[in-house]
Amino acid sequence: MSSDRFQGLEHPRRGVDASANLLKRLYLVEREVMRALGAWHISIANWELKAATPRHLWHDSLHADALRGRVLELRYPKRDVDVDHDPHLVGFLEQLTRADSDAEFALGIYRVVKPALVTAYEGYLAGGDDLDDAPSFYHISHILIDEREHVAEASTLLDMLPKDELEAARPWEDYLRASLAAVGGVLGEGPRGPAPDDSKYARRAPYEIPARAARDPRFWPATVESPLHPPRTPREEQVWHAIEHANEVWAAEIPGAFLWHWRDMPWSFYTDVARWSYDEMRHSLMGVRRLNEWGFELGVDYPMVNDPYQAAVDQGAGMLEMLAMLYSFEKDAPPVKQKQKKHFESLEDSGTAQDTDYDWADEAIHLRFGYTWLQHLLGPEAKERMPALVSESNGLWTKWLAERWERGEDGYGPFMERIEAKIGAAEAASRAGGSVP
Amino acid sequence: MSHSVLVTVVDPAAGFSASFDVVPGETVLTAALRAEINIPYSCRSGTCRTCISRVVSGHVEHDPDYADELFIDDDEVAAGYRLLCSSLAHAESVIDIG
Repeated sequence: MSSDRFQGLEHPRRGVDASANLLKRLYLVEREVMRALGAWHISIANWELKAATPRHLWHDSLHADALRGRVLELRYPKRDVDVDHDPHLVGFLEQLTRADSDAEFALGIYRVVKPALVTAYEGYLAGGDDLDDAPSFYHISHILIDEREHVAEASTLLDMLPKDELEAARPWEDYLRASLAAVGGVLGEGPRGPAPDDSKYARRAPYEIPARAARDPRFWPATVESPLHPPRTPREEQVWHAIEHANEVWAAEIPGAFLWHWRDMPWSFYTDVARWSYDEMRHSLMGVRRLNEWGFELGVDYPMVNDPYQAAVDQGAGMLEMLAMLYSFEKDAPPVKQKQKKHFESLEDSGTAQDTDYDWADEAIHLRFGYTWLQHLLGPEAKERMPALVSESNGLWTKWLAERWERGEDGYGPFMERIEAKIGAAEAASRAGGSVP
Repeated sequence: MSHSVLVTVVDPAAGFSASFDVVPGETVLTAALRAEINIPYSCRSGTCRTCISRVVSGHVEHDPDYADELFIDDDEVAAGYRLLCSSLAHAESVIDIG
């Protein structure tokens, strides 16, 4: 050690440019994991995994946003932050969605990439200067809390997947791990090597959003979410409302698909849409929670479908029309939610009233998202095209539903029997002095 | 505006009409809610457009402190539309909320 304390730094660490480059890699990985989770949400069958992923992708959007912002603070040109990524790392990330099963997808995200991200963040902190680069340290120390939680939660989620599916997915996990190692890991600092020569996996076709949303095989087959007739009693109102809420999983799946479908949108599109997806999943879980409390079995006593998406696909609508459809439903929602909140309060169902109150608050944000991004996508034609597009897209679902009921293709009969039996039992218990909805 | 002004909201299609006072510095929506008049609204910040309505007569303007942040186009404003959550009434006015 030099005895001259004025010669250089005693603790040489990473400089601004090197830190910016590493943070840009971390931003890319968070962003693409978020997009992959969004893409696959509609393809995931297992309910527990489907319920967890929108929260993870929203967290990842916040991580990516913090990292992207920090990169720009480090004298990094704004015009370059979203482009010119390491093509090898991009190539690896593109493979995450090319999974063939829930198990393959989950193992790739939660056993390969997220653990590698944790290691990368720890490496960043170990190699940096916690005073000079303090804002990065702050962000990363908080991101690490989430990422470690995601990895830990995944252990439970993976245990819920069929054992044979998991076993069959192990070679894919190994392939992805080897592929990540070949590009030098998340930070690109490891020894690089050739990509694993496994044509079976390397030649898989790019992921495409499926034409039909996957549902848990434990659920009963279903087509439409709501019974044909309106609720006739307060209890039916509570149950119908909760079933509709539970089925808002469709409104989480469609924004997830947007994250994947539109690849080169302005950055705030992704943070907005990730939040939209998570909010709608929360709404779904509000309904599921309420129905669980009332003794209804998820997907067995009531249907779990994605009929608005199916209606749009069956009528040849694309993602732009689906965005317009989602916006149109949000647009109609505030007066309805206002009334529902008051109504459920009058029924002394404070749980549903509170769920509706928060749902209503979320809708206000979603209206901004829908309006902003429809205008952006329609460009100079927005003013002329948007009203008609929103109006036409609004009718896709109702038209499709009416056809299903008319043709007797609703598939609601078995559910209706179980719903009415549950409500009947609840009312009988209520008359006998029990606690019921 | 140094004193309260009377605002009437109408929805001709629904046959609805209601009047209420708006005090200085208060938004039209806040005054309506205080008077327990149900106007559709959501964000209360001028971003969701739920409360967009057309001023039929009188003088209603967006709060100048926030006018630049509102989700309403210039031509909509020129056509008399306002976001009631972010609007101040400067004279007795009639607003179509239908």
